Amino acid sequence: MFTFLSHVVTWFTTASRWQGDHGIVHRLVEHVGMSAAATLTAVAIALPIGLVLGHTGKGALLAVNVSNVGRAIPSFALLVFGVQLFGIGAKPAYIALVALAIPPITTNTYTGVRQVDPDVVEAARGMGMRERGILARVELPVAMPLVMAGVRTAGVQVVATATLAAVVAWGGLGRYIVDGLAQKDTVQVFSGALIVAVLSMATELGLGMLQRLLTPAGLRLPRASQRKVSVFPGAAAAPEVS
Amino acid sequence: MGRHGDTLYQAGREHVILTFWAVAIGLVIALPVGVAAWRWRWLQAPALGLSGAVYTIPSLALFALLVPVTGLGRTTSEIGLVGYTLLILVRNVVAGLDGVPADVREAALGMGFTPARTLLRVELPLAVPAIVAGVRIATVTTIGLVTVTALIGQGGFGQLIYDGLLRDFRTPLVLGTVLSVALAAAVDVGLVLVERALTPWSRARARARVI
Amino acid sequence: MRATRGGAAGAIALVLAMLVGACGSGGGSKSSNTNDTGATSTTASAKAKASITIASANFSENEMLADMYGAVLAKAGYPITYKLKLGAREVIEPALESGQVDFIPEYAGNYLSFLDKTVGSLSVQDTVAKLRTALAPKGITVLEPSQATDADAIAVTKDFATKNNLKTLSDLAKVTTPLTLGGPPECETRVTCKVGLEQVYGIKVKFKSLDADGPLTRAALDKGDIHLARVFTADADLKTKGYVVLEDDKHYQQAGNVTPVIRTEKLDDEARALINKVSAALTTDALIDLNKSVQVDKADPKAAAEKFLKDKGLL
Repeated sequence: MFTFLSHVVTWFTTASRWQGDHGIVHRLVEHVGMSAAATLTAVAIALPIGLVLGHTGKGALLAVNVSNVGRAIPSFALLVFGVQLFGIGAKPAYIALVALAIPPITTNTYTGVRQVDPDVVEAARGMGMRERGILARVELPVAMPLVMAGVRTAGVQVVATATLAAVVAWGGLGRYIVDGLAQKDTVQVFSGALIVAVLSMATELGLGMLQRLLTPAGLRLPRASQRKVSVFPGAAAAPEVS
Repeated sequence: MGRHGDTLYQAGREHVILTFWAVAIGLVIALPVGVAAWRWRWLQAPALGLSGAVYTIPSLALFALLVPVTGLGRTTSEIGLVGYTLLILVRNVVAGLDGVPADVREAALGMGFTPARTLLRVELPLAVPAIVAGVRIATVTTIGLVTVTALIGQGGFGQLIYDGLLRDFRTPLVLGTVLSVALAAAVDVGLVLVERALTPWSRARARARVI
Repeated sequence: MRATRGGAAGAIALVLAMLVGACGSGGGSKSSNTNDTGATSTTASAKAKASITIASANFSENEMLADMYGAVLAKAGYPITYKLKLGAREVIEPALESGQVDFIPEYAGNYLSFLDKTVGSLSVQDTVAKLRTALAPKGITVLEPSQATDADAIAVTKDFATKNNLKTLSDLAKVTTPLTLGGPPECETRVTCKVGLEQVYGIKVKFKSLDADGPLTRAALDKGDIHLARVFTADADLKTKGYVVLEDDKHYQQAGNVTPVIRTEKLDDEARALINKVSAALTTDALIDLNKSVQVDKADPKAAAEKFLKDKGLL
């Protein structure tokens, strides 16, 4: 056990380990870059859809269940589809990860907007606000906690699934895991997993801080009631793993 | 004629067995842990923290780390899969128990129920919707994760997906994906029916629920 | 209350039924079948036959070979469990040593150099002899090698070969641009792959981890992400894809003869005879044909294997 851990320490403290194309820095940057790009793209696509559906109340069945359906599609399959449709490289991983991140953001945004007190919306309409204004300046801020919960879920899931993309010839931190498995190099697998775990936690914490920043002070809900909303499949603040 | 029918049956059987045991064992662990974390508040943070920590480990890494220890069999897959059910299940057990109105508990105690009896006869049954919701999420998640175990020799329908990758062959890829999603959908519906069977009183309230 | 109890009882009954069904018929991968060892019995028909777990590596030719040997043994009444696409030798071989799997359709030279990195390239007879010496104490029997061979090889695109005037691996030393080799992850650490290229030919390459001679490696070679691809000599599509296999003039590759290995306690005379018969019937050309069926024409590996066996009168 201790020999193993001392091997891990050696693994991390070898200077060459951090440099070059196969180095930790390169793979970490690759991984973070891909995760950020995929998550941001998903937000750009899913947020407007969730907002519009939530505001108009249409497409309830779709919006609520897209998360359940999305959760049921194996990410492994998405990655293989990606590589068969788009060839090897970053593109299949990117597209698969965007597809993965869209459902939780859509569902949570929809649910968040639906839960805005209709009286508040009526009042805003009465004040002469246009629909788009209501969306942007009333519904979105109020829905922000749920929206951000969805983004957090999506973000952490993307970081985890990006490791699986190494199976379809992408790079990133998953390389250590896939290569370590094939080479029977448990130290490599462990060390790679450790880096991803830390990255996952950092993503969760970082997006949590972002959520607090983006939630208007008057609306910061106490933690308990936030949790109550999230346990049912429809609200989809359920944690994801890949 | 190849092994097609047989392969699909074997793959499906493996997928169901891996999923069933993962969620069943997960529930057996999560129920007492969740009850304890709900009863003794100070346990909540470590319980959720520990099960959450497993979540930060990517599934392939967890399986790959277990292989040298527990070999290439189903045990390895099950250990990993159980680990991933715990956070959702524990969280939902706690949330379900949290959601029991205080006056219901008071009434039971007032009727002479011991705390243990209250838990078994009143609080847990009322927590069933939340617990089943957790089981639904955990099951669907597990069905997806089982496909990853194809990389360590199991996989269920994931074996078809893996075959699709190795031979650049769209047919098993699509088949494996569709069957995996269909299984998830079917089991989800089944669990909704189980929930209805366990909570006949909720049918009246169902229409009022915001979902 | 009664309704709840009834519903709860119903749910519990359902769960129990699934439990029973899940535990029942036919074990999981850890075969819960009780085994007779059926070891060295001459009257094999008198004893119950050993159940054999057949494993394969994560490329389709090996899966097809596993199906082939399995089909013959199954027909003779041996209960067969398959564990296919398990992974690289690095992962499967320990499972063989620990008894988690019983049978692997191996390749003599690569297996030997896995056990002993310093062994170098030997004749197939010497390779098998050394394998037997190394594996007997581990309870593993090496059966007769087939004349069919499939060894590791390095391929380049036709354009690359013409541009740099490449025919042999030694010619690579002439190339001035830094070279990238693509192959399965285990290639990076194997003497039959990247390490051997460096040690025997003095050619330092960068490595890109892809797959075991599958579509990802080919895509990378076609795209130009890699210059060198680790392929297999029995691949069916090398010509059609316009790849040039560079000759191994310094002989760092091993004897690639298909050589089944099995745990000694699972082997009886009848099984031995059946397995050796299949090995004897296989030729390199047949292997290439089978690979064409499975890899190019996407036939089911088991169907292709059974067709071959029927044609040879072995099934």
